[in-house]
Amino acid sequence: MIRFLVRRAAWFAFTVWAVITIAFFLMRAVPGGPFSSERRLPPSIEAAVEARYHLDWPLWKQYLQMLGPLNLDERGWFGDSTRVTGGVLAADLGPSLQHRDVTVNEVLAQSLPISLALGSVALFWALTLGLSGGLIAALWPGGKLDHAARALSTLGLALPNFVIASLLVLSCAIAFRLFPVAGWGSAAHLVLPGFALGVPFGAYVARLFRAGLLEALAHDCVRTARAKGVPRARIVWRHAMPSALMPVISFLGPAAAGILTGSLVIEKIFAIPGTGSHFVASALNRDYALAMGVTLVYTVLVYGLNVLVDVAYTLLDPRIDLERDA
Amino acid sequence: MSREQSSGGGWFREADYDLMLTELERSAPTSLWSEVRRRFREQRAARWSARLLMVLALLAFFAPLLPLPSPAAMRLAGAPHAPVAPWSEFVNQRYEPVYGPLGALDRALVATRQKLFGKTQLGSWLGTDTKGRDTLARILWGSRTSLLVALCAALTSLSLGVAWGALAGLSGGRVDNLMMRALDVLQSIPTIFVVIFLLSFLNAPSAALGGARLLSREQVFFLVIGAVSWLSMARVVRGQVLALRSAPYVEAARAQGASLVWIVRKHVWPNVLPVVGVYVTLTLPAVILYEAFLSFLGLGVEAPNVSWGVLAADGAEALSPLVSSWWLVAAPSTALAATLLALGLVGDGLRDALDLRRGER
Amino acid sequence: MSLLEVRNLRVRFETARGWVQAVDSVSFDLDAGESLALVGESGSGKSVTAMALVSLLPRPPAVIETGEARFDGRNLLALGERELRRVRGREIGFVFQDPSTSLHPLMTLGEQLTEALRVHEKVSQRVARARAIEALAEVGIAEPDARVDSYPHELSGGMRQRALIAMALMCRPKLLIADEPTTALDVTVQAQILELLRELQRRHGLAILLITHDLGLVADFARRVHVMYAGSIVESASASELFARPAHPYTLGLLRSVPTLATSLEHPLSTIPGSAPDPTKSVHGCPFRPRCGFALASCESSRPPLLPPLGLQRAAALLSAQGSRRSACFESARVAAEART
Repeated sequence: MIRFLVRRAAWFAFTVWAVITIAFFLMRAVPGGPFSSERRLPPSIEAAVEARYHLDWPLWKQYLQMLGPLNLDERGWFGDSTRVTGGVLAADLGPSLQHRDVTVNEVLAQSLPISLALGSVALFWALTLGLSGGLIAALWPGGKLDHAARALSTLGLALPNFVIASLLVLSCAIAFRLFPVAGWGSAAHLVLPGFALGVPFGAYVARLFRAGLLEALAHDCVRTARAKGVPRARIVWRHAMPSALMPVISFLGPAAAGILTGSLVIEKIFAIPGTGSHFVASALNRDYALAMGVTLVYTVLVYGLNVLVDVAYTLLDPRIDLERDA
Repeated sequence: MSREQSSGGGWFREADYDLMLTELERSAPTSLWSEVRRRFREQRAARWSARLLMVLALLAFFAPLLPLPSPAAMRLAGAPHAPVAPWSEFVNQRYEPVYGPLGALDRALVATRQKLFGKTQLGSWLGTDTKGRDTLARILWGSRTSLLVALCAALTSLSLGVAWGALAGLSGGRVDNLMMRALDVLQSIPTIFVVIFLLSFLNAPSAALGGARLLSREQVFFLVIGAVSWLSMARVVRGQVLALRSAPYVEAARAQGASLVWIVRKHVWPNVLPVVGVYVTLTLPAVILYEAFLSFLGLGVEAPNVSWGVLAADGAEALSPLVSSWWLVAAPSTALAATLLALGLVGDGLRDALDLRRGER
Repeated sequence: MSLLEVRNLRVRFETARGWVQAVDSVSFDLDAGESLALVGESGSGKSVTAMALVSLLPRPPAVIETGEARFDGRNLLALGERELRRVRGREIGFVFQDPSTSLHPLMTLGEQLTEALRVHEKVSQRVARARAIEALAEVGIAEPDARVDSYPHELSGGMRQRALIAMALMCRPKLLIADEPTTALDVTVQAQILELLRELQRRHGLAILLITHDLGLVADFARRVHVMYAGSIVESASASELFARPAHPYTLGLLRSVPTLATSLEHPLSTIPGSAPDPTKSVHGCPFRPRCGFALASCESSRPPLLPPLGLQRAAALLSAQGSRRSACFESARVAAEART
């Protein structure tokens, strides 16, 4: 287990490094700068602003500074008197280029909890809808409920989340006025966006879980349990459920990534001030620091969740030996 | 024992042998593909979905030829206009040719349309958007973007994905390892972010190039979609090829001295093909969704071009508690959902027909 | 009175290609503490018979058409699911063929062993665990108090089968149904498992219904043997008689296809030609006729009933104290005579 975690951590570090490096050079390689789109500034002021954000440095210096924390001055690497702190390694992403007088850390600290709450609600919807739908379908395969559940899951898979969101806003909030349609502030604000974000994943979970349950219920060991006189409810709950949950759990990694991606759109529709809204804006505005920060956060989240899923998987399935398979 | 030997000979009758032969002939499939076609046709939902998609593709291709209002022509007064039922206004004479830059083929189609129908155009059966542009026309013109994107992704994953996977699977060993590690790295990078970077940065007009762009936005868009759509295909093909390479009957063929070309042509290719087909049907809806997603974020096609994602975004923007222009949301959403649903059902049907479905996954 | 009396059991499967008569008019008796073997090749209906007794068959597609299975005075086939559940595991234990798939991979042995106890008897977790350890020790698993927390994949095939047997016997059932209990195991392990079953039988006065395709197992395990072919019992006899004088051509064929020390290049093993009949087709006359070297004209039109072998009736009458010896073959006397030569 320890060795597995160490290996995953190394791979994790490598991926993060690759992502920020690619992002960094992509951002600098393309034409245009953070201040070029604004009203033209006098050259002296522009130079001063660029110096403040170290944009006047050579690229490799900027890159090292971004990675940080290198106490560059004491080592005398730059041969000048620049004193640089911060950087990814110090978990200090520096000041935002677009939002004056605010650091990227502050932007993230403010928006990330909102996005995480939205993602959790979406995951909750996905699991509730998916697991209950899959269970109902698998308990009476071929029955009316099964057909209904399968039709709904096919529909849920086909509908993009922003379509669901728009339809929800249209029907639920405007016609029935049950939940607030937009904005942020209370738990009620999260119900609709979370639902719209979670439904496609719920549909997939339902499919996975139904198939998993049916496969597990047809397994020889279920016959053994029946021969022991175990009641059906316990067979479903204790014997079939754990095996059927395995594919669902391994889907949670990709689902988490998908939910994060989807939140970009959902946050826009429901006007939620989460991290997603900063992502596109920062890329479009050439806010190098903020764009890097958001990318970093998302990479870490997706990758971390994947590792978590792997660990959960092994805890649940005693047959998997991580040390051997890693 | 000796007696039993002779009686054993008597046990086995000629008639049994004949019976066995006819049995074999009866059970042998006439041809794999005709069997697959038959099984696909047996599925009603998949059959109707395939028909719907065909109609949609035809409508998309011939959209410039149809007597539609032009998708960019505005009618600001009173916009958005609510849908007008076909029976109250089937056609009107308000056609104005307003188009963005068109290709040669589309120009010819539009010219033909003008000759054929003149000023006649269909009424706004699905209403208009906030700038008075006809929703039906925009949906049909928008479907061209979606289908083009799907086509582009299908071609990349068919060429690059299949080639990469087949090469890795066939060469095996270190080459295979290297090619797969490359895929691993590409896949572990959250592609959506790279895509957004690429699009937003490559798209912006650059001062250095005097306001010109490196590539047109559409070109970047298609490049990006193609680049992300081949990864899983490569993985799947490689897995299949690898499994086939060590399949007992392929080893038997190799033991009999069959050449690599022969094995690929006779054993590998026919077995990889169904998987590739099914995977394309999985890629298409994913890519259409992707396009809609990017367009929704404002990173996709640009005005005056439209796509379903753009329409859905416009619809969502027009939503407000005061003005309920429901058609702006409902129409593009329905088009998108119906297409994705049909593609999904065709994919499911194909998987069932090819019997590739193992526990739904 | 017998512990288990099966009368005229008929089971059929409804499939897409038509229905299949899997079990056709099967009757047999099993006394308390006795061991009985159902022998036949795969698809002969022996496992279906056993599973039908306690309704373990998936329904649909299986349909129990007629029949009675009196166990301790109750007709099992007439019981509802609730009552059946009280019989399963508590009064009738089941051991299945493949121990690697019959155990739940994600549950510890302890949990799987105690499950039956906790379902059928009100015992505490602690008592149940102690009894599970005891049961594991009884079936010869070393370090039972450690093994009780193991998962099935940590055990060898033979150990898993022992665990399955322990599991079936947790509630001290009167009858153990063992469905091909040794098929998935090595030959040496097979012998150990059979020895274990025999010992448990002696110790607890257990009745065992052994289902197998292996005549070699039957010889020294079961007192009485029923040979099944295409869903029906074609011959029933005591084990010793069956080996000495098989009365049905199918039994004769089976016996000759068991390798012995006399098998050599000059005297190769014989096989039964052809294959088992297509179960979806209804058969007229004897189902074994196409493969039979003794077939008569009458075999084509009618199915011979299970009777004392013709011509051997006198001998059978003499031996009736041992139980009836019956065969479903018009030519049973000739077969028996040939088997002696």
